[in-house]
Amino acid sequence: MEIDRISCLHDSILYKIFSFLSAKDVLQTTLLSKSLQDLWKSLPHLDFDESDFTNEKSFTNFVDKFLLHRDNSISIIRLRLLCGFACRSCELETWISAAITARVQELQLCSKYKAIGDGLPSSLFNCKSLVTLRLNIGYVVRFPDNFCFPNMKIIDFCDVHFGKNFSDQLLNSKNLEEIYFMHCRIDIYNSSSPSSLTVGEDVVADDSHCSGTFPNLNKATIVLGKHPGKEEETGFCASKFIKTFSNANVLYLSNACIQLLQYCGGNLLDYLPTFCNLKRLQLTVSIKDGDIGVLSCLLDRSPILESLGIRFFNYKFRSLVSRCNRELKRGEYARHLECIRMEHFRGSKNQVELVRFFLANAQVLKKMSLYSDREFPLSLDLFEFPRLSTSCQLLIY
Amino acid sequence: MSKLGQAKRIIFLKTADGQLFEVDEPVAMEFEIVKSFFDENEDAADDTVVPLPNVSAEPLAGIIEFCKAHVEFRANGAAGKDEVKKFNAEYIKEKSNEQLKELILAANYLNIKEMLDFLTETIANRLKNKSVEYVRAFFGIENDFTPQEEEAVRKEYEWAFEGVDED
Repeated sequence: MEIDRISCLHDSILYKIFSFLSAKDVLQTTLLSKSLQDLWKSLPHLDFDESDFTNEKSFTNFVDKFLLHRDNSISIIRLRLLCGFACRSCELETWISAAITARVQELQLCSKYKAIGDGLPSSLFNCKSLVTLRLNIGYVVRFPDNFCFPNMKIIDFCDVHFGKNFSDQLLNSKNLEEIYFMHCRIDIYNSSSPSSLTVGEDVVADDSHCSGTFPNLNKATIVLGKHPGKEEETGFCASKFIKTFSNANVLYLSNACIQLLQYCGGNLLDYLPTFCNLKRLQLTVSIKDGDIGVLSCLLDRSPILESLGIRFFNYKFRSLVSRCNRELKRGEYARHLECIRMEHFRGSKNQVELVRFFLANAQVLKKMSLYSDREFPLSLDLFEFPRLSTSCQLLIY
Repeated sequence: MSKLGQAKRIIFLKTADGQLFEVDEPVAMEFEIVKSFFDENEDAADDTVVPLPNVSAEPLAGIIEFCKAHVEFRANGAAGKDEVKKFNAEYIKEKSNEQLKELILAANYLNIKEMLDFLTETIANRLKNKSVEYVRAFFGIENDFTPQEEEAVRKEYEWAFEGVDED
């Protein structure tokens, strides 16, 4: 009876359990019994964590041997490499090539410290089997101008620098579902003057069928770093970049994105795409007029928005010139917006005006939650503000 | 969720050791094997007893507790949130390795994907950084290597063995 039960485990569950183990633990299974000796070679999930090893040399040796001896006719579903030290490009090249040979679907590279090296092997950027790619390798990766990921669904990058053709090339990944860009930079290119481009035509095309975007895009998180450069060009490049992801259902834009969009000034609304599927928008904004102007334009371009999250960010040391002055307007979104959440609410004039505006204009608003990190003057009676939606709750935490 | 004014349907399950369980329909439908039983026998009477010849009462009670909680989490829109993690952590805290194995065998037979994923990961966590002897004992695997053969394997995979706990 006992033997029967265990052999049940062997067949399917054991395999599954071992898929959750780190590669180091998986290798222990070679000693379990003769029948299990070679099981590790066909596991599709590989998880290499340098912290399991006493030193860098034993780790690299282990990864080398593991990839060399595994059965590469079995596809790798996921390869995760967590290095506590600097990854050298020559080792990465060998490992990534091995993974590509085994038709790796999900690849995650993560290094804690600044790495030495001149980037990632070029074979990575033409990997047909990749479905998920997560990169956080401790130095800024310069993305090549030519790449091709026909099956990619999720990209999750930290510290990656994109060339000017990045978004156009990425459009070949038709199945893209989620993007996370953390502290990434885009190339600001001199395209003579943005106004000489056919911005108007683009906008018209966008309004009709959201072309030039990803049909299945669900989530887009765009956190850009600082971008030096001429302001108008920077703003134009940023709006063009964001436009590529305008099909998203959920969009997060960092404050740096808002700042870059501000550079478009009074033309911003013309440069922005219509976010025709956008249901949830999250932003980090300051309470300066210019940021409110960008918020106003984004809302106008989000006709079916249901949920808006605003995290306020206080500039103590930066003074910004407002370039995009535009008041909030009651657009199409006001007929759909159900939920608004504001964090770091401090009761400043612009914040209070936002609350007043949304309460007065959002027709089907169900809930507005304000999270405060310090007390604000109680003389402001937010609860007295007229509400267009009779079922709207106002909650202050 | 049951429709208003409609009595909740109860599914009857009978374990290998002869115990009869009465389970709310949405919970029982988490078990793929029960779901396909009713899909294949569309005209089955409401009081049909579904036999589960490979599951005994103790693990089934544990499985029903887990699935019931998760069905509720989903209905409340709490799926993936902290309270789910808290429940899962509490749920396995008191379970012995033996009980876990019984649960995973039963969950595998009943074909409950969510629970199976959770249990395999839990077991994997308990095996992390453990010695070969521990893993053998855990699964009841018989060591069929001769000392010489074992030594040969250790030598072959020398690069893989360093710094492993002895229990």
